[in-house]
Amino acid sequence: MDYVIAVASIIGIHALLGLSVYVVAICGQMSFGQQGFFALGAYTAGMCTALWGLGFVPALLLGTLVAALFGFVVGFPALRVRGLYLAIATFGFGEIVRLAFLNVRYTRQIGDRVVGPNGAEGFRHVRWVFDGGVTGLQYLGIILLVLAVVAGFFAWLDRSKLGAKFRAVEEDETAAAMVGINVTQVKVLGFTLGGAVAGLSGSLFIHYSTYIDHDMVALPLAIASVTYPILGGLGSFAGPLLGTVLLVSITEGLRALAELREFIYGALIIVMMIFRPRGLIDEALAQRVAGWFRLRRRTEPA
Amino acid sequence: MSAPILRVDRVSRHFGGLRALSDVSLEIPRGSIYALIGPNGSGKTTMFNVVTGGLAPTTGSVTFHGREIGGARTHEIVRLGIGRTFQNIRLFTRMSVFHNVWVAVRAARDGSGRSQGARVMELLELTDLAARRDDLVESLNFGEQRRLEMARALAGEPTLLLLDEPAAGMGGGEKERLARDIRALQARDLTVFLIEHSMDLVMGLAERIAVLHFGEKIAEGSPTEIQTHPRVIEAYLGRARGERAAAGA
Repeated sequence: MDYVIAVASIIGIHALLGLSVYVVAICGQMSFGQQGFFALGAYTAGMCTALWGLGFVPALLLGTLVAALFGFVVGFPALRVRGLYLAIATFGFGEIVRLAFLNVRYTRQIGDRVVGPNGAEGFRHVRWVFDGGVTGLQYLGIILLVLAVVAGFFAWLDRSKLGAKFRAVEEDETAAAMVGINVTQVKVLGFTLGGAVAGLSGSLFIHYSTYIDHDMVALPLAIASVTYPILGGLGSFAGPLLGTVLLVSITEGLRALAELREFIYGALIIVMMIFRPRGLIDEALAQRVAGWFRLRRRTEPA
Repeated sequence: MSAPILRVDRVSRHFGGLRALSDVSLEIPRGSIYALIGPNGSGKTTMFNVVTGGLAPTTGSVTFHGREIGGARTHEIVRLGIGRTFQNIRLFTRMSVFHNVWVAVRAARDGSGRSQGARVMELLELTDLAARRDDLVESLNFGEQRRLEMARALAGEPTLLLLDEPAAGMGGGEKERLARDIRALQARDLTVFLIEHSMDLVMGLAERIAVLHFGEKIAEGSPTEIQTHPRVIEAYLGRARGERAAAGA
């Protein structure tokens, strides 16, 4: 049972990471740097509760806010590059964050523990949740609640004017500008939202694991977070959710496969790019499902 | 004569050493159909890009309704009332016919979903695409795609519409229909500024024509004046004697 709870918790946290890649992707930008925002959120939220005595909710908010701020700042230079170059540049950002945390030391002796970001040792003893007597199952409930709120926001975004602008920019920036869309605003907002959601994911993660180090926010996490929406689909917010559930339950559920994870993810990216570049839930499927709902509403007796 | 809706005043645009436009001035009278012609590479699309903000003029000024727009950003210019179609059709191919226009209506104005939906259908009726509303863009034929692009360009309720080679790839019947559509737009108080290679269309439709050649304006006048203008004849016939003259005239 504990094992199921653990896998479900990881799914919830990684689903947020997948959504953060998704929101950047639907305005035409592929980011391999979301793990950087994840790390910023995690370290910030961890310091909030473990060092500064703040509560859990302010920690989540602050972790989200700091990562959103970095997303906003990264959004501007990101305007100047696209495609493969953007992928490499964002990965470069992720690496900068990782190496910064590898070198940052900001610790305090609390009781018999050294608490705080401690270079290569990582950031240990973020025990707010555990010391507060929250059980694994309860914390899973918190994760799923946060995920539900974020997913609700994305469900709204997909149908909103803002979402329509995002997708227009993704398809053709010149044509989008020519229908009156402020392309700069949309793309920077995409990175800001992506940073916020990844930061929230990291904030939840550090309180789940009590621990993070630079090694956990390296290339494998970048690849995983990009694979979720690429497998699950870019046609709807449900895509990255589906992708995360499938991939994490396969790789965590079958222990033997865990060691092959990078291989599986890499192979899946290639296969999807060739056969279904918009993922399992692509635009056509999303529109068909939306059509069924419209039809049912129309044919329902008043 | 009333004030022109668009005034291009001594605009030059250089790309490195290449002078795509040199010192070009144009005045487009309100309510007119105005054509820009010239051989390939003469700077016509560059002119459109300067007017719609994709490119800033290197020197010179562009005023729309008396307001300077040279170097302004595209979405701002669109909101002032300029719409545009593209030479190589640029529709949102992953969206339905309806959504292509809908996103433009929503970006252009506030309002309830219901009134915006009605506005989209109005534009699709106007371009005779209402029956295709739920179809994907790729299932439309070439002429339908051009009409859809026009519907989308009209979503922002422009007062000036720029059409970049609207008749490219069209047959005789489709061209006649396009000419009718453009006249109908003029009747709705729109000013139309078009780039076109099809000479029969331009000569039958435009009230004034400007001719670009290697980035310079070599002539301007009524269709009759242009057809007999020695520099125009030289630019068109002197250069590509066979194909362009045959394809154009």
